[in-house]
Amino acid sequence: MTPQSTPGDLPGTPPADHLAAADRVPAGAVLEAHGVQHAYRRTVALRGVDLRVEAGEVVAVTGPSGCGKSTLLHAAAGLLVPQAGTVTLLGRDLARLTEDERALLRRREVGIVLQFGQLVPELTAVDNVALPLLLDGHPADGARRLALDWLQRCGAEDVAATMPSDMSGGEAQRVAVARALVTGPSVVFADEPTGSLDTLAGRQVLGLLVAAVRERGASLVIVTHDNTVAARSDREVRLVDGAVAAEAVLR
Amino acid sequence: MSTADVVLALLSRGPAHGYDLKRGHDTWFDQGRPLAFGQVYATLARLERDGLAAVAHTETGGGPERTVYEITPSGRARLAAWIDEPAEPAAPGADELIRKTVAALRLGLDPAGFVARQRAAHLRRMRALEQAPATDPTSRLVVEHAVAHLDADLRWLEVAAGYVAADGVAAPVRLLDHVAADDHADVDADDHADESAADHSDDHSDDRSRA
Ligand SMILES: Nc1ncnc2c1ncn2[C@@H]1O[C@H](COP(=O)(O)OP(=O)(O)OP(=O)(O)O)[C@@H](O)[C@H]1O
Ligand SMILES: [Mg+2]
Repeated sequence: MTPQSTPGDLPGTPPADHLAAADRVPAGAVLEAHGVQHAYRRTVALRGVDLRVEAGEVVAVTGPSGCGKSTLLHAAAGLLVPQAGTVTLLGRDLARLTEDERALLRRREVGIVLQFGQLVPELTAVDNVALPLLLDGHPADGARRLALDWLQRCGAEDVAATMPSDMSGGEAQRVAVARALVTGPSVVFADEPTGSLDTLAGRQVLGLLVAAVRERGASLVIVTHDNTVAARSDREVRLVDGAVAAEAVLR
Repeated sequence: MSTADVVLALLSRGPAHGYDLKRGHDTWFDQGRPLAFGQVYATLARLERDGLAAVAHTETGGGPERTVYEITPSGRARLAAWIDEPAEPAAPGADELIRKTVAALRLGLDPAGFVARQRAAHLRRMRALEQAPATDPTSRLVVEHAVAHLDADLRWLEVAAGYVAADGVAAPVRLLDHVAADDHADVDADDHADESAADHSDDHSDDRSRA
């Protein structure tokens, strides 16, 4: 059975009026980004990117270093608000939410795996994984049990009681994947989640993430340089110099 | 791969008739083209002529007569020698992919589109291979080999695409000199050639820490 939280039961769920009719994504899309532009000082990272992700779809974002993949992923996940364009994630226009509302949306309905330093250094693996549930007021017992369950599914049960500083890169990534999946997100964003691992270890973690997402029928947007990872997606979106250069449906 | 060597390898497991050998071959290479019966019998005839295999006996019970073959001592020696010798790495320049890419780039026939279409075709093939159920551990190995080759082709295509993006005129001339180089640094540098040096440090983490 897939462990899964029920966000609807939780206190503080964003009220329905956040879902104004104009904000709704077309049926089936979990993410709809339009004309997204972003620059860091004078470096233009995105020059008007469109990205639509259907429910249950696995999309790989690829392209040369510096082409804007991370910026796009951060904008899509609500980690940054782009300077122009709109991002509608799970029916919410992200620019119209407050910072706190975006944080809540990310914690409850979105899973995020980044490349480095994402585990809380002061917490053991199991507490890191349980954290999003604990922050949402779940009883500690149940949260830890669910966290352990996910650590096991991710092949990281051996480090359940270990602090991040004492884990290998591969172990830390497995824990990060478990933490991204523990809340039962309907969409997962992963940025180079295996960038720090050797090929085989990286592919194992990736295989696990893709399988878990597919099993739940969730969506995944994954930034990768690894062709074999891109080949596991349903669609590849290739960025070059801040714009979509090519799209390939692989399914 | 030589069919004769594979048939010898299959025969080394014990006496077998043509159908057994065909089935054995198709199990070992279940992602590849099935071995035709005609080829099995032609191969067996050649192996027998060369003294590498011999007729063990003829089975007659029930259906049609079937000749059972066995490997000879010199057949075993030949098999051992074949296994001992590493396979010739694929010769560069002979491949259809290289022929097409070089032609597309040299002729300037929508090279970016060509690379994108070839990339999609490779990724689709890779995806199909990854999804094919592996019947046993060695058939998984054969799949891994095919995937690794497709991956190598894709990396090479990326280098080709980098040259196209950087300089459509100079690119075709340079391409073949760089076939083996997985030269990401080169591609990246070209990619940002138009950005101001002040804003674009080579080290992204640097950029981030300043922000
Ligand atoms: N915080 C920042 N401050 C300044 N410039 C930045 C910052 N983050 C990214 N950039 C610049 O914006 C551009 C796009 O960066 P981004 O991180 O999105 O690329 P990327 O495709 O993820 O690259 P990589 O494959 O190397 O991770 C690059 O030129 C980068 O140097
Ligand atoms: Mg990045």
